[in-house]
Amino acid sequence: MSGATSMASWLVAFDSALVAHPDRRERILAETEDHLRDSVAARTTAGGDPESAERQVVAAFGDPEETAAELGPDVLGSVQARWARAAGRFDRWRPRHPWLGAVPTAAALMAAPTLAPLASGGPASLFTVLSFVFVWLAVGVAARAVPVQPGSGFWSQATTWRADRPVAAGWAMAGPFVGIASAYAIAAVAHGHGLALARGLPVVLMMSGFFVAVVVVPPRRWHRAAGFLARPPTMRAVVGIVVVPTVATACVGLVMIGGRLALPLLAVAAAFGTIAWAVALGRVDRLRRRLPVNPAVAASLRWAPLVAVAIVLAASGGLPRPSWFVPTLVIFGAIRVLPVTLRNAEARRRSIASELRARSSAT
Amino acid sequence: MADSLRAELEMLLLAAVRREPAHGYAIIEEMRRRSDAVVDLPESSVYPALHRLERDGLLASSWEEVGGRRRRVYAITKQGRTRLGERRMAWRRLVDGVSGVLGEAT
Repeated sequence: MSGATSMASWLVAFDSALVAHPDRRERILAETEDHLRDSVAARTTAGGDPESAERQVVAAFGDPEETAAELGPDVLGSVQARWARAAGRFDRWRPRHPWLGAVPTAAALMAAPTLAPLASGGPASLFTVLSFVFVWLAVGVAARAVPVQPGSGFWSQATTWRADRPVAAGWAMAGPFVGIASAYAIAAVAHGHGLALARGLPVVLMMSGFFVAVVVVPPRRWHRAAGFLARPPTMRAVVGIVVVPTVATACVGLVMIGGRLALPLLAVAAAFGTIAWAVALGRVDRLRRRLPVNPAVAASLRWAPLVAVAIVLAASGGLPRPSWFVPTLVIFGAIRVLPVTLRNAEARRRSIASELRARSSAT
Repeated sequence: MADSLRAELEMLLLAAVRREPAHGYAIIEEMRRRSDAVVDLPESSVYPALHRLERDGLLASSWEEVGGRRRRVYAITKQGRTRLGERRMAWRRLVDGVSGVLGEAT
């Protein structure tokens, strides 16, 4: 028994015991609160005083834990509750080991192409699998060297430069795209593929457009509001911003030219690219929480560059193994998008609970 | 026995909204009124039952503005009407049977 005597405290106890997805949770709470209010109003109209009416209504409605147990749990709510416990443990570790933040993305990036051949029914060579395991381990180790400040990310690091070094900041932010474009151009010219160059340019333009539209232009005000501009860049940040994308893009360029070192270089490029991407995503994550759009729509923005690349590559016939590519995207999406969705659901659950607690303490 | 009680509760809830859609509190009040307070369901059992009926496709619900407030309103579906008809027949058979045992004319 909860011992709740007021409507607000009953709802708090009910909310804590309820295992339901936030959409259903909100509906159930709204419905139950409506019912309790109607009952109190009816008793008050019949001549009772509001306080005792509320006590009687709450007692008549029954035990909040039992009521919650009868209503739930739903499958999504159970998954989300388990996830929240695991994520809670992860979040406690993360401040002590900031590089852990890069691991889920790195794992997803590595697991997707590793598992994709299996999912597509194609034979996965041991060498391919081992190379991805190597890259995954390399990411874990290399991520320690990534510039990590509280709430840091590739773009926030670059943004900190804008206050006093706007030109350098602009180059730093444009660097990866210029690098990718250059690598592509070098490779295309080296192979004599003028047409391929023309096909690949839209990819670079789309990725650049995405970051300019989502990261650079609209959030300027948010950057300022969050005090990012006030934070001076550290030497590690400077090195990280310059070295990580440069090494990654240089490796990609060399791989595209070809040669015996192509596969190891690809592994190095993937590792560095993963770090840059993971850190950048951390920044996008923080920003998208402030976007005045549906969280699911905002979350999907993260994958816009990948989807754009996939569409353009597919349209231009540039996918060497399309049967691998689709499972790669699906597996990557499942590994990364599902946890993000569950995390959003947990954040909503907490916000509902804190609103109820605030109302309970106000009464 | 628990299944039987659940079936009866579902029959009552379907019957309460067969004429017009209603929200949870109104459904309970309507049942009290129609039965002269004989049917006084425990309030906490009504919402789980309404959710179950909705999940099974026997009721459909939507948010509506009722008396200046936003309410979750339940309406019976075609499938719900069919189920209500079946439950009613089963209930009448049961009442007739019990009355026969008790020696009462129906």
